[in-house]
Amino acid sequence: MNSRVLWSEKYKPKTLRRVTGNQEAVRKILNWLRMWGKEAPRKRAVLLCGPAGTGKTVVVEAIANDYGCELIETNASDFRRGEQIERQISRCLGHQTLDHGLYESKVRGRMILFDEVDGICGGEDRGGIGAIIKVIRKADCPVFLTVNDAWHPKLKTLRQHCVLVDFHRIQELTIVSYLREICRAEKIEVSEDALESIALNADGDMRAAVNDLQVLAMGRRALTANDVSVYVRDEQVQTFDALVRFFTAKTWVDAKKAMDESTIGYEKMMLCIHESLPYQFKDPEDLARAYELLSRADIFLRRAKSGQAWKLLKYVFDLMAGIPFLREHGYPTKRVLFSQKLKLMSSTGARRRLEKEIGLLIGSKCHVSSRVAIRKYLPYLRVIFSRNAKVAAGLSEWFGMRENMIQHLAGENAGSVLSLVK
Amino acid sequence: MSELMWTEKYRPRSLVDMVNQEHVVSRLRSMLKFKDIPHLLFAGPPGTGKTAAILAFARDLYGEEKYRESCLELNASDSRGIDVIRTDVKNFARTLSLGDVPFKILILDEADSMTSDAQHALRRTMERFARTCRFCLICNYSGRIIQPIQSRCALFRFTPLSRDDMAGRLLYIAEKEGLEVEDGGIEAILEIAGGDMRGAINTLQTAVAIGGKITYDSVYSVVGRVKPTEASDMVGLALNGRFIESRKKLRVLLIDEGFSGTDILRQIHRFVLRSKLDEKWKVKLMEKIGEADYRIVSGTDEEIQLSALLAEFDLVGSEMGKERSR
Repeated sequence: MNSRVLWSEKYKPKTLRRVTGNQEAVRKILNWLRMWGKEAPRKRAVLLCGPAGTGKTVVVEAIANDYGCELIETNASDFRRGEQIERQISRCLGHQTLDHGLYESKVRGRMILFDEVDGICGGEDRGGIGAIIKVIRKADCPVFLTVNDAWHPKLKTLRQHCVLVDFHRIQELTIVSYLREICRAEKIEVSEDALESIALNADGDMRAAVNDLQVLAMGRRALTANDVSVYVRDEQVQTFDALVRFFTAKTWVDAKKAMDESTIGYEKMMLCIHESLPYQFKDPEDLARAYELLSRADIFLRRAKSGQAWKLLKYVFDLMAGIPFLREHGYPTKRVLFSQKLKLMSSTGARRRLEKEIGLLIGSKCHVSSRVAIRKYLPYLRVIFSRNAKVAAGLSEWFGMRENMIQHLAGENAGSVLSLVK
Repeated sequence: MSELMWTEKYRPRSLVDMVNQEHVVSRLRSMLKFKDIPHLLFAGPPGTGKTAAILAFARDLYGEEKYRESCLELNASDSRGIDVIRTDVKNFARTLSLGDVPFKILILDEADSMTSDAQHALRRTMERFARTCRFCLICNYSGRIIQPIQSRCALFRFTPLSRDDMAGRLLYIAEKEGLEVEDGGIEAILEIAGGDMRGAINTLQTAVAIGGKITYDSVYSVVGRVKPTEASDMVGLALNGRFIESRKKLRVLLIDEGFSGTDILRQIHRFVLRSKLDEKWKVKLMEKIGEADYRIVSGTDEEIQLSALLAEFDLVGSEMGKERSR
């Protein structure tokens, strides 16, 4: 097996059937494609927007493949000055100029993809956006564009020509099951904990998760949660630097820059700042003030997320960047911490999985979710199971519990409960 | 020997059996008369009878035999994603209900655990199937349900049960089960459950299982075992200037014990009310608790918000110290 092949390429879904996650977005795109009947729909382009690694490009490529279309693609690595875009696209269409090739000959079976459009900036790529709009206005085939942030002011006019489709971070479970398939194909033995840690760490970025898996699996036949946590630590070192620069920033702009440059996303950054606060602000007054600001930043994050009002995201950064300047006593220290959440979540993984199963069982009988069952029933059952074998045996039959569940709940009393079952 | 959870054994079978929530029950009864309902949104704290009310309503509406096939219960936090919900709904709503009621009922519990996108998708699903299927969304906080859904639903607010109603129901169960009850026992359960009927019944059943009869002590020994980590310990540490340890306790409560932020806030609230702190500090802390509650209800990160609250306790602790030394 050639190890130089990137798994993120090798296992990229080639067809829509294999695409998991963001089904809502896919459905929206397919609906729009159906409007390409006799004539072009009013909006001839779709703008796929969302964070990295959520499958924007993958979806477009899979669609082109499924529909048997030729995909004409430009991405950030190409030059994208106005005339270059026109030249390149016309070359693909058989060395005709755009006006005679693409727009008038009613070419079918083609799709155009402008990948990573927000990579186009002034300077080098002057006129790029204008050229794209020109292509869209006259296009006689579906045009796709991908961006991370659709609400960038630069894209204002472009937005008006596009149907907007939002892509979201991929759910952890979806990532885990995809990674599991890859491991099966590559014949790597991997623990469920390890996959969960990778997925948790990837923060909804499928490509990052697959890349991490590949790096981790290099030269290994088996992968444990411990291997993953060592690897994750490397990323933490970079984060530590960013955090130290953040807390020692002299100006507001510097603090923002420190956040920008960190490789982890802003939500994780927020958790890391939260983790480090009491070590940075020893005075109770300072600490309370710093937490108040962080809490307010968190409110704006919620507002931005819930209303899809990504414009509000800038206030999250603005507020967080103010935190280092609330100190009236003492000095910043080098004591910064990575978010403990990941560690806590993975160290308790196996137990939480079993409890989740028990929770689902309880839920099916008691009209609650596994989450509520774990909180509202499990503690009581644990007391009953460890103290009253007779009632415990009766209840475990009613719930239909497996032996390991009874053991988990009853602890030392498990023997006497199990002897009464059946 | 047939054991089952008493919360199920004594679940109300009909609206007539419902304890408390009169305003909700009376509205549901009038809907029952016309055999028609809009989409419903039930909001209120845990254990106040939201699921019980809709299940009882469905039983009354469709009758004991038919209610199971005319009524589908889904849980938003366990059904992964809107796609599952959509498929399930489609399959469920496709066939018309046979009886004289022209619609089925889909109960979606913990609707507030859905992301706003999933909720937007759900909204369309609700509209598409509205003719054949009515939705009953259940949540703790109506504020976490997007406006377009709220405006399509009749909102029912459930409130914590009164002590008298709770005591009545507990005594009824005790009588049916032939339990020995001492006065302090029920009192203790009410104290702990604070308007949460499910918690009260679970405490009752557990106390009987380990002690045989219901006394003040047997109840409190259940509580001692059920809640190894107390929010009061956590708050105490913060007030004594040990913020970092206090935050560690918070994590235990949130991650290991699986408490929700609101559960923890309720405990903190009770702690402050009963504490021997000076009134002016109590007032100050209450305001902070209220603010944290409001922020969490609006969907912010529980760990960050509660840590911020603990930082306020830390501050009040240090201010009290300064005052004393003056």
